[in-house]
Amino acid sequence: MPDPSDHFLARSLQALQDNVRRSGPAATAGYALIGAILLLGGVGHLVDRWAATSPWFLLTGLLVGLVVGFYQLAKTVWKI
Amino acid sequence: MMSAAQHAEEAQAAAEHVGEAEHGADEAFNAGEVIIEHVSNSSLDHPILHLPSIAGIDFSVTKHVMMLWLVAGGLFVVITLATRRYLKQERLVPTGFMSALEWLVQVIRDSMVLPNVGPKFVNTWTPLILTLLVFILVSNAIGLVPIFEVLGLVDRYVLSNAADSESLINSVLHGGSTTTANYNVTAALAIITFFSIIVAGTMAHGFVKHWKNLVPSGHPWPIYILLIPIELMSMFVRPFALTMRLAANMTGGHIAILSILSLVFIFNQVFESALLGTGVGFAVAVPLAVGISALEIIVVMVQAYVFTLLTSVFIGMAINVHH
Amino acid sequence: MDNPLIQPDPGLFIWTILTFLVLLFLLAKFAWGPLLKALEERQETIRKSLDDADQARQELERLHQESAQIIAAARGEAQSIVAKSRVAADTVREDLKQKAKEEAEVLVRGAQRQIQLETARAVQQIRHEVVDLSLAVASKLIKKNLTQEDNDALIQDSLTQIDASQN
Repeated sequence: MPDPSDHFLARSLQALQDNVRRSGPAATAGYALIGAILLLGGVGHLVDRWAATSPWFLLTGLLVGLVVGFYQLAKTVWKI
Repeated sequence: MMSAAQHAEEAQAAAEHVGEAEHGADEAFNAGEVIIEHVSNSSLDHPILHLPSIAGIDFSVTKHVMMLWLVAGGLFVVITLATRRYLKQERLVPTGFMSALEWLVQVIRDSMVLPNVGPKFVNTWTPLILTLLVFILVSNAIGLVPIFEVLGLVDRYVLSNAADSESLINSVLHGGSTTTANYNVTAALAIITFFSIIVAGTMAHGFVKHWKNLVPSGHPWPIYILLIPIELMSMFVRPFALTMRLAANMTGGHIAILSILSLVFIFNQVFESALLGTGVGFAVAVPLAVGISALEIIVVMVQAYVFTLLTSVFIGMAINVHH
Repeated sequence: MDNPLIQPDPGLFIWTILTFLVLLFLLAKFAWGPLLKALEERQETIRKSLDDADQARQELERLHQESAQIIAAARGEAQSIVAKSRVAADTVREDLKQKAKEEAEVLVRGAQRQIQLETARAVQQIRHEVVDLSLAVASKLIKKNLTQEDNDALIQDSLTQIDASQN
């Protein structure tokens, strides 16, 4: 039985998998940063529209989003 | 009052109809409208199958709901049939499509779920991850195949139905066929991930312990006033990021392809000569569109992979808590 | 929100969740579960057969070593037997040689004594013949018959003379 790990394609795939797996936490943190800013900014924007308090909730939301995003990033970095 | 509102509605509908007819008559090309029409869901006002609203939610079957069912049904039939045939035979080694499927199962289990979730819960979560992967992958990929556009052409020029006839084929032509380009769909999938994380943590540590695990322990209490809201928000940010990434990637790719293909029609109008415009448009747009389509094939696979990978990472984080 | 790209659609949202959960349930029950089980079983089979092969290989190696040992032992034994038998043969040959020499010696000695005896008897006989001859000669010569006593005295006398002359 030939060892499947000998094939070039299989090895490339293995390398790709390893890299994606290792980049998993970093990707999570990166997307969490943007996602947090977008989500909380969006929530702030909606609250502003509902309560007519523009732009205070939007600004607060963006700021909190930044904090949450960077907290996630910091957690990932410290873990590694 | 009631009748007046009804009347107004009718009048609006009639006006829309006239507008559509005019639109069809003068053949003016609006790239933005066409692209949006091909990327977004079909209008809720003209569903394929009208169903009653429950609690103010319209459950009508739109194009994207139909595509969801098509993808889910197709996947179920193909995968289950292949599995049954494989399990019925005596030989241990699978062949053909089954070997690819088995390779997929093995790769997902051994290199995605196992390293993240750990050996204890592998068989619990591998089915979820596999279903997510194949569902997202096929939903993504089906948007690259112009099935309905071809169907529409056949309907229009072979069966010679009018463009605004009420046939079933015509009603499935409206809207894009990539369900994962609709953030309602990706949000639903991300909600599945969201609850899977909670279920995974609860199964591994018990309900109360799971929520305690969200926050790192062993800090003085003032830090928790800051940490608990942040961690709670992070909990919602993750599925939000999943939702937006998948939907935006799918929408973006389709918009790029459609925009480039629109060049053919735009040149047509700019040059005021059908032959010249179409020729230049083809020369510029088709190679570019082919290139972007090739890129899209990669994006389709990578996005399905990333969604499932992140889901398994999150589930693993809930199960294997590092402090 | 007029833009259809960001239009909320709770119906689609709920349909997606329902569709996905149903698909998940069906696939987990009819496809992934049996597949994962089959995969595990096959891996177990492969692992076991590899183990078996490994064990068989080890057993073979052990047997090989054992047979090599046996052959080596047999060869050593054969060599020692050959050496021993060579020594034994040497001893036997030496013994035989010794015995043959002794026998030969005995034979030679016996033969020598026989010869001596035969010689002595022959000498005795010759002496008697000589006496008889001399008597006959003497009696012929003297032509006179002596008495028995004279005769005996004469013989005795001659014998002593002969003995004396001989010694």
